[in-house]
Amino acid sequence: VRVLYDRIKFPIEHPPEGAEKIDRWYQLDPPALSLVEWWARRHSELTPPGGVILASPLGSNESDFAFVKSGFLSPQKFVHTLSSVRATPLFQMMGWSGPVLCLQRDPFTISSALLEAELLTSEWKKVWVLGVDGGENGETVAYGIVLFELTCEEKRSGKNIEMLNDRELLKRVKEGQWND
Amino acid sequence: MPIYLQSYSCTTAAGRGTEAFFGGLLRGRSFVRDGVARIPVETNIASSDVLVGWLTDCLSFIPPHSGRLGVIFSSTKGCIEDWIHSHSVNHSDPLTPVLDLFLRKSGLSPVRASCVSTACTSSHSALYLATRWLKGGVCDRVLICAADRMGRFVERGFRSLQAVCLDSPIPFSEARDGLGLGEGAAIVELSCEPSALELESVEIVTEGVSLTRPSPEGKGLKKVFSVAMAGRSADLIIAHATGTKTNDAIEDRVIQELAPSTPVTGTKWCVGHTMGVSGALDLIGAAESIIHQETFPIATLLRKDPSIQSCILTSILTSGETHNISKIDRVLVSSLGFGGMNAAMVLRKNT
Repeated sequence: VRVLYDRIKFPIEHPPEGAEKIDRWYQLDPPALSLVEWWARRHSELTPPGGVILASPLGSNESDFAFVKSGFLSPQKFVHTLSSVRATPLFQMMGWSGPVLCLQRDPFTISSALLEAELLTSEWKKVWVLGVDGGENGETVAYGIVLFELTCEEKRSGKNIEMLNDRELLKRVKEGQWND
Repeated sequence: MPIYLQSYSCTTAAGRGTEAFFGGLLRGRSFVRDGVARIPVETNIASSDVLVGWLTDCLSFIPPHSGRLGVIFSSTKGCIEDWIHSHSVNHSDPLTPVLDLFLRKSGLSPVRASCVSTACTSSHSALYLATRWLKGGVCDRVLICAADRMGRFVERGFRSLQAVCLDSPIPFSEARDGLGLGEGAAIVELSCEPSALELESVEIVTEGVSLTRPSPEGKGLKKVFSVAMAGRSADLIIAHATGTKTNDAIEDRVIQELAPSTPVTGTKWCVGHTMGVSGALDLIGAAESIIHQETFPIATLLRKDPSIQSCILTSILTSGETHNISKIDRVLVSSLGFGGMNAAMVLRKNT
């Protein structure tokens, strides 16, 4: 299992590299744009997976609240209330197509997704568990992008995946203390 | 390892239970008015209680079994306005509490439980995961519990996209003006124990092309169709058939290419587009069609769009057209969702 954690702070200085692949990229909601920015920074180190599990701890709560705040009027905001949609611009950037599951199991969303990923590695060969965490916090707008890359080539540890709650798991990841 | 459909039930605008749903389809009655098909509910009940009530009602039709159980909740959370008004952005996602409430009230104790939300392909995604749980030996049977209520949140959202029809949806018609929104619940039970119906395959693919539209050539849909069909023909296709210009044109294009002579029908003209439930309802429509060897047309469709070439089942036949279905043993069920989601599954009679 390979784990990457990146923090994307807003506002970003320049449009993400390659953002022109996405129609009206500047209208994306912040979690979707943070994934686009993340890919622009990380793409040279990553190869495409066989399948993706989206596992954002709070789902699309932020986008849901933003849509309601718009008076239920903004089609652009409404589209992002579907939690699976946030990764579509990322897939456009990657030029990737494949199976995607979007899972929730608060407060164990990420650990639960890792369990499913372990099951699906035999079929997908390489599985990404991808989560977006964070958002507005006072004057700061920053998103944590966490990626777990599971491959079946690696020798399995044989240990069961520990069901950590999302907060604890992300804390360990940020501190470099998470392992399988 | 073959996966079998053991039992199922649903609640829709057509009424409680599978009979009401399939009967409504056969009778050719659309429950969509002014673009929406609602299930009457007391106004002061919280959405989560409504969803759990519908699921509990569906569960009462499912025979109890022993063995290790898995439960997957499928929803697009179409009803979260009361949630939004009583919680903060940092509170839990809205799906997990509904699943937990359902498990508490029903007394079910699954060895694994999860919530799946991949837009309107959520049911297909839940079925996909369920088949992998069974094949991987995670559990002995899985209940796919799908529920969506249409609140202001989703109704205004779809209206903001100008995707809702004025009266009833008319899929594949030249005059089609959008989808009809629906609500409801369904429970589908799968296991490896042989039964009359085998869920032969479930496939899902995201295209990564656009937030709201499938690729013009239907790339993703073609892929899931091909893999699910596995080179064999189907006797019937239950299409996503929403009644939007884009959806129907893409589906027609792909069907024309891969199964041009297969009869095509749909369910959304009758009970509306029930979002996270629609795939499960379509699977139930497929199961009932196989069991009764009888299926339903798109009854609101009186005049097909001349540009639609597929063999759409309509209630009125023009000269030279026939509904020539000698048997219904293998049915393909397709679905599309925002974010470039495409899904297809094949249900067949186990002989």
